[in-house]
Amino acid sequence: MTNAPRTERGSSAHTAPEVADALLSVRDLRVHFPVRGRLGGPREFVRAVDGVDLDVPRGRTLGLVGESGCGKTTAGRAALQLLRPTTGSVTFDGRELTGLWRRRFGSDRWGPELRELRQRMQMIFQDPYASLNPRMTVEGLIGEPLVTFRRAQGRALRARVQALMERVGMDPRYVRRYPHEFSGGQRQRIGIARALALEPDLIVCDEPISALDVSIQAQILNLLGKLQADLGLSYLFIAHDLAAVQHLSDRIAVMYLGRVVEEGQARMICHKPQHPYTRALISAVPIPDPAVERTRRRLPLVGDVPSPIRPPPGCTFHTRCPDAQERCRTEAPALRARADGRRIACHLVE
Amino acid sequence: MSAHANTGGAGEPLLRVDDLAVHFETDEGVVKAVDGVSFEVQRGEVLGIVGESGSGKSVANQAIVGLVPRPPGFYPRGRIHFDGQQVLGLSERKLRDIRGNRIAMIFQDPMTSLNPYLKVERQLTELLERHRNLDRRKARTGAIDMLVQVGMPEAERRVDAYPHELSGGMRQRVMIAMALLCEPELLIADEPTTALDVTIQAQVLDLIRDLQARLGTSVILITHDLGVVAGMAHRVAVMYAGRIVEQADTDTLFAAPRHPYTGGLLRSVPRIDSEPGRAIEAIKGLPPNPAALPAGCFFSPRCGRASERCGQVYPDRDGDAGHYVHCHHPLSEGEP
Repeated sequence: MTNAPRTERGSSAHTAPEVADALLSVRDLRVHFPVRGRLGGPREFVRAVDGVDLDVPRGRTLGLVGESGCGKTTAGRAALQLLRPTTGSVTFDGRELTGLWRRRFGSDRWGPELRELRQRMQMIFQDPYASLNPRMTVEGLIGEPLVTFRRAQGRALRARVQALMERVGMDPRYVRRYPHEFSGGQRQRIGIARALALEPDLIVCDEPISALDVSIQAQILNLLGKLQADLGLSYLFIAHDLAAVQHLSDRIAVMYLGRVVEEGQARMICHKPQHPYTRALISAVPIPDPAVERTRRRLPLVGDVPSPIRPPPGCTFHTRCPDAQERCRTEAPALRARADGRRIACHLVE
Repeated sequence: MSAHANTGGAGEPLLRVDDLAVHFETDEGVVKAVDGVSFEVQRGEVLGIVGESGSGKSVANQAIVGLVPRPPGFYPRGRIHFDGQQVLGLSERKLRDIRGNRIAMIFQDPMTSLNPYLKVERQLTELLERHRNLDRRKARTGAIDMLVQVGMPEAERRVDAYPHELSGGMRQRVMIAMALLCEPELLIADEPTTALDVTIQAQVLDLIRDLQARLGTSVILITHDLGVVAGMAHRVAVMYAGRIVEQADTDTLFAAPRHPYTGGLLRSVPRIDSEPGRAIEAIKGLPPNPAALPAGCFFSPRCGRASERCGQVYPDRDGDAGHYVHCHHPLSEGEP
């Protein structure tokens, strides 16, 4: 991804001020994937993440929401350096990560310092079945990071694994079982225990409950909340289920077509959304209360999300925005801070 | 919601399911996926069926349209009357005149209904030619009309597209167009919006609600999402491990649930309109393995109210057709 487009990059005017107590800070992050263009035509890029700022406060949760294809998962992966950002800055505990990559044998790899730092940043995936090796026992799965980084072996390893199992609410006697012997909720607990093994400070949770049954989702949400309270973890919680995100998050950032359109306190975003896209999104979330549902007004969105290869000029939401004006079609709104502590990228919101 | 005013009147229900059981032969023994389910759908009514995976909510409805694979599936007992006619176990040939014509289904994954080798036009015209005896040209016009009705952007162009050229939301619309083309009397919607983004989900639900109100179609809405039923259904049946454990009109079910499982579900879902940090209360444990159901009430191992009796005797039905529950210790009104 070294030959990405060189347009509108690194403009320092756009860069937001550092947030005082952020564990993870992302500034003007871009991830562009090359795609095969028309034969003989110019090389094209999917602008999956196109200038994103995020701050995960220490010991707290930033929720990252948006619909499929908005770039939230890619942003989370690039923040963890699971893929190399095209441009932009990612600082973790004060250290810039993007410069810690090394080029070896023709590919981009983590340098030694990044390998070290990355132990403190872990991830929980949506589908624990797909992310767990079916041929490994629970002990192997949870203990693998401890073995890889030589943190424990032998009896100490077994004891550590069993302590982790208890921590996530699993029976430590099942240490020799295989993933297929567990339900989806239990498998997600294995994934969480594995993520906790190296005692991280930050966990990126990517849709951790969306594959689970309703009665199990609450168990996992409550477990994540308890782990945060007990261990002081910071979460970047990526999900499309806004009600679940609100439940766990202190702040929420809303993404549309590779950019953050609104960011602020979870309660403000969900109860008083301001950006036209956030307003439509929140109004579409069903509420399990027929009396409330009857009186709600939906703000319908017309059309489909435009292609991230050729995003519309100006505000990328203008093609679907009910209030779009001339200026929105030509001039991209910056993500600006408001007096109430939220940031909004919209010409029409004062 | 105008749909609420449109509940069917008295008289013979459009669909009556009596004591339906759908079992499967498996290596682990007989799995009682559905075991003694009864419900009715009135004309013009939206019945919500809520349950988690493995609750039998999909299988029960597959039996209505003869989509249960036999073997390994079989029907040890039960009757299904559609418009007075017994349809359970009807021959495939006879079912075909009902399915797609008088009863239509939409699924979570539109590609289960769409033929990837056929253009949108052909998927739709085939139905019209088969069930309505229209010629090809009239059928094409009918297909485009239907696509416009379901809100397909640029319907005249999209009618010539293949399914893979459409977005997920557009495929869902094609499937709904197929389902509604023959103006079915009953629409069975099985998790119709689960794979969709919330804004598209809202569009699709609005569409179903509009068409339901306009054409008076009866709808069975199968979902795990309590928010979706709250906004759509007139009446709700809650399924657990192959049986209906509670049924009531939607307002009553949400305001005064009687089964501890229903109450537990309602307390376990976060709400977008609640204060952040409001506690959600998880139901402990896991749904039972359908091949090894517990003795007594199937929910008793997870239930905070369970007594010794709950682990021994499956509770009888308590209440009338308006609101009933299968529970030895039901919640009373106002109880959490």
